[in-house]
Amino acid sequence: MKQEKRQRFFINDNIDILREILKRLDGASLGVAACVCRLWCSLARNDDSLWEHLCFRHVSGPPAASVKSVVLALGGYKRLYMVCVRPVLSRLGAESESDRRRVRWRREEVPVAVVVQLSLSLFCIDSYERLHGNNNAAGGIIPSDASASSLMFLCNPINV
Amino acid sequence: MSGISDTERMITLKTVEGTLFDVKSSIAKDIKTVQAFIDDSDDDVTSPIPLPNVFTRELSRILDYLNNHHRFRSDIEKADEEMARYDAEFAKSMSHEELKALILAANYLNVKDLLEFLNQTVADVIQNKSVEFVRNFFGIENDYTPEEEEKLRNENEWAFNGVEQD
Repeated sequence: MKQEKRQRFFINDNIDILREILKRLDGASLGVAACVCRLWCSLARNDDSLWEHLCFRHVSGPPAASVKSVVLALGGYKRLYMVCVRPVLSRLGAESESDRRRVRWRREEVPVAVVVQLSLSLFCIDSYERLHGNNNAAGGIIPSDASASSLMFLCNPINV
Repeated sequence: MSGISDTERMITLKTVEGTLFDVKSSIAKDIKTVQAFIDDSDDDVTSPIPLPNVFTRELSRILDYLNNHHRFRSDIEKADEEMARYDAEFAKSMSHEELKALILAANYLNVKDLLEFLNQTVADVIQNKSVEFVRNFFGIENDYTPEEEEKLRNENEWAFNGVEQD
């Protein structure tokens, strides 16, 4: 046997494989992975496609190209995940943060397309409200009184 | 029966250890690195194709996987169910070291479906695990100072609630 010649697998020498593995983690596990070492941290921080994948992984077919330009303009997919997808999911109880035996987010149980659509809408609302904070110069798409109360309460967890 | 004729062309593969494997050309098609080698040769490939980075244990597993998947696909009715059961057994039959060695081989040989499946298997192993478990699994050294690491963990604190005990 020539076992001693065997090359040892080191994941950090195989970034493409590492990226594929990180793509398959849930959000919290990706957050943990970001603390493993500098390389993983920079991937989680700089490779927004990981978060894009996370936001859309359970939706059949890639979202329209126009979605991407909007998300990127509003701060990127990590922001989309942190600000909207994660709160919406946890509100649905699909990714309950406090539950150790975490319930897996399954396609059959959660109308995932709805989650994504809602998240994208919330994301736009959030960004719009931040923009809109001190004046009403946004072209009159939304009546001026809409800025008075935030719609971001939709993200908050509620006990039913 | 599978319906594959007995006259189907065979390809011979040779591992690092020198073990020879005869492979049907329909199976070899799924091994992109081998198929590229065949496509690049002008004549029929008659002598064994050397695989300088692939060991017998891994090639044998990969061929087992491909042969079974070909067999399942030829029987549409039970394909999904049996394939899922086979895949689960396949993943369970390997130690972590074997799993990582197989990823390396599947990556070199460019066996797309298998590589995807193995990546998913690894993701399932490290899902909800601690930073220490992940470092240990991959043999990654912590390259942070304690202060840096604490700062980073605080930034990512939201992610740590679901972590299982190692």
